[in-house]
Amino acid sequence: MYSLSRLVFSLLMVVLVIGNFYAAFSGYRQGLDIAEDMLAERLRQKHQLLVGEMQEHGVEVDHPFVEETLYQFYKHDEVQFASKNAKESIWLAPQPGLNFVAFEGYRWRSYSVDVEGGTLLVAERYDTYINVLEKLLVSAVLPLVWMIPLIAIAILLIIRIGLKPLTNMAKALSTRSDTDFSPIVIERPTRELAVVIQSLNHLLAKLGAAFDREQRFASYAAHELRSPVTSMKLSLHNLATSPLLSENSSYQTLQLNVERMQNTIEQLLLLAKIGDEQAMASRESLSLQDVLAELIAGMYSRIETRQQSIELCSDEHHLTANRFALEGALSNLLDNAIKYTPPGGQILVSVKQRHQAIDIVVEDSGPGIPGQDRARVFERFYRVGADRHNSGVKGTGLGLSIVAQCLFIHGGDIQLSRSDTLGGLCVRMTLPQEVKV
Amino acid sequence: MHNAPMKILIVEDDLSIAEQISLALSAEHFVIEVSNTGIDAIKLERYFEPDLVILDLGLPDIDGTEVLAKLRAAKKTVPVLVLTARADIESKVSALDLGADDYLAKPFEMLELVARIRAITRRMGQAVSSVMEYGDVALDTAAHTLKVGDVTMDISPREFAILRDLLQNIGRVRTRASLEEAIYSWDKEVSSNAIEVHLSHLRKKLPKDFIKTIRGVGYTVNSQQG
Repeated sequence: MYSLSRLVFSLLMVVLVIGNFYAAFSGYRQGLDIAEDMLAERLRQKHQLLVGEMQEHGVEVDHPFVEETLYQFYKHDEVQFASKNAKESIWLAPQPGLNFVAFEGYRWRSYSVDVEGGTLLVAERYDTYINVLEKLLVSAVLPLVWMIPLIAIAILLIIRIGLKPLTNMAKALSTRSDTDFSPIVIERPTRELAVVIQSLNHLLAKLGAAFDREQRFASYAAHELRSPVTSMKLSLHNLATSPLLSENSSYQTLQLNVERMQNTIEQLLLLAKIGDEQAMASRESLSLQDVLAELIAGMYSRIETRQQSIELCSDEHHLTANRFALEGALSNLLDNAIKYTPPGGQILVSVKQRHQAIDIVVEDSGPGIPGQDRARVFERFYRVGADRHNSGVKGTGLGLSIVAQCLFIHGGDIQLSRSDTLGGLCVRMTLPQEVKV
Repeated sequence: MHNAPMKILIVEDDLSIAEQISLALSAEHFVIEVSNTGIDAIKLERYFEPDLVILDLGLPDIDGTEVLAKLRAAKKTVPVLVLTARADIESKVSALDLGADDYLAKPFEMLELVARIRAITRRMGQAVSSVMEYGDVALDTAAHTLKVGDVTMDISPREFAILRDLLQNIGRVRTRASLEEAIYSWDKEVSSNAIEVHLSHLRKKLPKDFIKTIRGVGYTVNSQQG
């Protein structure tokens, strides 16, 4: 995935650097050309000046030019007169007009034209002239190069300002919760983004409505199902007064399935409620010992019917949590232990403090869960061995999803292992003692 | 205790549930009257004069809580057992606040409904006879005496409070916290340790295993003693 601002920045920088260097280079080249022309013009003027002086003062001229300029007047390869710095040596311009010549180890630009009685040559040190000029040109062109970093910073800022609405939107989107379907509000959206936001908000509204419907449906359906299930259970109870019926295997299947249906409805209701983020936001300080004791007390008639023994091993431990989610999760763990532990079996519930976390451990003497199935336990509707295990209990598979949801809300963790003390399943639920709201 | 059969008014709009409850309760020798709406229920209560009202909260005309409020406003002290498909704590609290005597969430077991009715009857009967009986044990709440078999013995106020609470909640486990609450009126400073001390004194006076301990959870009257 590439970054839009980085892409725009790099492309702009490439264009800027190439453009600037081209401008600098061509400026330099043009400057040099102009300088060449200027030098030629100056030589021509000096030549003209000397010719004028020759005509005025007779043949020999002694003009005090600066070091970098020299002149010679020669006729038939013989120097008639020359400037002081050129007198000693005799050299010839190869042909009339502008030429480069070497003299005393330097490069000179020469201009020679035939005048009456000979040839007058004027020359200037080319290397020094060009050096000075180059320096001048470079100092004129360099700012163009120095500007690049400054312009780069400016471009960066401009990109950032330009993309601000986009980054604002990204932030607004990334900070919202998964179940927040309220419309996105961006202050002063740009014309381009307004379209995006509008269609996003439209989608969000649709999604929110669908989510609401799903939430409400689960809870509504479950509520509506409670009455017929109640009626069915009562009918079964009344039918059971006739031993002929109650001993019939069809009757027993019916009874088992009504119970299963009731269980599913309750789990669905619980899951729908736990899925409601607003309801789950509230936290209170809970005594785990009290919560567990109440839950076990409430389930005791089932434990007693199955002739199981249960023990709670806990000191005073307080926990900041959502009561509903915690009770839902714990009652599911207990419910599973009761369901999967054969009659006469043992269940041990213990609470241990560990640093800033609390371990709630539910162990049983049931068949346990084989290692390879433990990871899959938390998938919704998945049941170990597709309910072929020997406990003969049909579960909804929803229970552990409720536990997982509770852990998600509180930021807890769960581990399944084999119970060392009882030999069955050992479920260790770890919750942080202070839960962030 | 009443010698005449107990009269129960069932207020329930779901006809099949109402029918099944009345069938089951008739088998328990209660006299049943059924009303499917709240307004009917208030009228029916006046001439049927039930000993107990089983009230569903979700009624088609007026809400069950309103029926309850109207009954209580008319100074009717008849015990009311509320039934509802709303299992949340708020509706439970509001029903009890309005003067319901007990609360049962749908779907419930018939046995549980019968047990609750018996518990309410026991509490009513107490006002007449003042003796709570279970198996060989009889607790006289007026004389504060305990009778086991034929032997009558004294009982300390705290032991009395604990035993009364346990006898009022037959079939249910009382957690240590709820027992503490129950004897709070007798002792301002109860530590959970004290509960265990009182229980061990109490146990010596009661038949063996009359009170069952669920370790770490609480106590219950052993159902095999009944």
